[in-house]
Amino acid sequence: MSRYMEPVSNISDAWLSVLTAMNAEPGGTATNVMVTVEGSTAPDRGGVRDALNETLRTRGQHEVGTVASTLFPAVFYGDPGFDWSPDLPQHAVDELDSAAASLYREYLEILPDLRRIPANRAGTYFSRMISWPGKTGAGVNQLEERIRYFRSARRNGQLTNNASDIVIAGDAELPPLEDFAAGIQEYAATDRRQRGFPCLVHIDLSAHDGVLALTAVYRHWHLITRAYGNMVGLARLQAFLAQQSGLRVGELVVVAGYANAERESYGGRAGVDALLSAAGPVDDESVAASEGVA
Amino acid sequence: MVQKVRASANATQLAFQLEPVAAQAAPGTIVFDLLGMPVTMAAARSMSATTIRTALGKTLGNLPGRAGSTALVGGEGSAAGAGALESLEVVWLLSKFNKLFDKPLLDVTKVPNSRWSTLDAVSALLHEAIEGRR
Repeated sequence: MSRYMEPVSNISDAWLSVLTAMNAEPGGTATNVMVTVEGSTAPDRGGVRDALNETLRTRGQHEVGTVASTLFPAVFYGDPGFDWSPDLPQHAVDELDSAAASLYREYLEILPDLRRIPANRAGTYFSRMISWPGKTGAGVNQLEERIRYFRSARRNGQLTNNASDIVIAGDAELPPLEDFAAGIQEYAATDRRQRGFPCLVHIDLSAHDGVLALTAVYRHWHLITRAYGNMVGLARLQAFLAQQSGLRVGELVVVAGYANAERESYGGRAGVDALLSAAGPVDDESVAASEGVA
Repeated sequence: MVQKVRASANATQLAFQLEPVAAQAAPGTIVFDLLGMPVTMAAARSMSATTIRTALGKTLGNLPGRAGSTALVGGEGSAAGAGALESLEVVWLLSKFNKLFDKPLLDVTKVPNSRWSTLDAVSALLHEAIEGRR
């Protein structure tokens, strides 16, 4: 049965909500779980993140920041501090474009080194975004194409783009700009692996009244090892795309085909409860606040 | 001979400016960029762990999005403390040295996290790896 988490106003409370709900399930897992963050650019709660990082570090797992960088390597993006708009002077547009180009270039420069790490042999999430299918730097830059598409739409006075696509078929099947459905492909139809990378298969982008909503679809969502960092990385990606496209940041939604509280790796139900206890409860005001967000 | 090449404060531009310099440098020439990073293998081999630490720190500090970026929304920080490095930063720093040698200096997946999670640790590890190539 599907599970719908009440929308919240920050990533910390989204993570607490979904982990608490999944750990209450008999097996610690559920199918078709939907999580919504209304204010993905809002600061997270340091105490929650610290508690999780401590658990991850103790278990030899990557911390939140490292997981987030797999989706958006923020260290390579020199934020110009302003958003794109149709009437922006050319020198300012150039500055935005240069910041994005540096991000792509710097990441692709180390892609060969990243791919020497066994988990990255098939490419990384970000390399798939900026050089599909992600194994070399010679692929299709999906982010650049999406930004070009959104800017083109804005120039034409379009504030709403119904990106109702589900782009999961075919390697690099990227249609021409004028037909572009604005999703980001992470998973090739030819990929027959049953386990392992990639857990994230698709990112859908929709602009509505000048607001950019992002929906990420996961096959298997590891709620302790990955979920918090995944949401942070997705929020950074969303903020980047919104800035580069002249849109406001809207909802961040994750749909997990299978959500897993990872009891087997974190001390059973009691172990997950201990982590939740250390992280603290969901902030009731976060839930209430999200109801007021347009 | 020790040379220093011109570089902007932007590490991204720096990487591009260094390529021709490295290509032109005679074998065995010791060349550093203005941040103290080696441009040639001879330069890398001449470095102590301390000079490596200084160069890595300056280079890391020039990463455009390391601090104060709205791209950092959603949280930052590490259980390893304020000076902790993300693994992506470590790979990026190591790549600056790896490209000077015919094969990568280090396989970080075979090294415990504690040995590369801070600048001091990475510097010591790099120096050890370079010494091992002599």
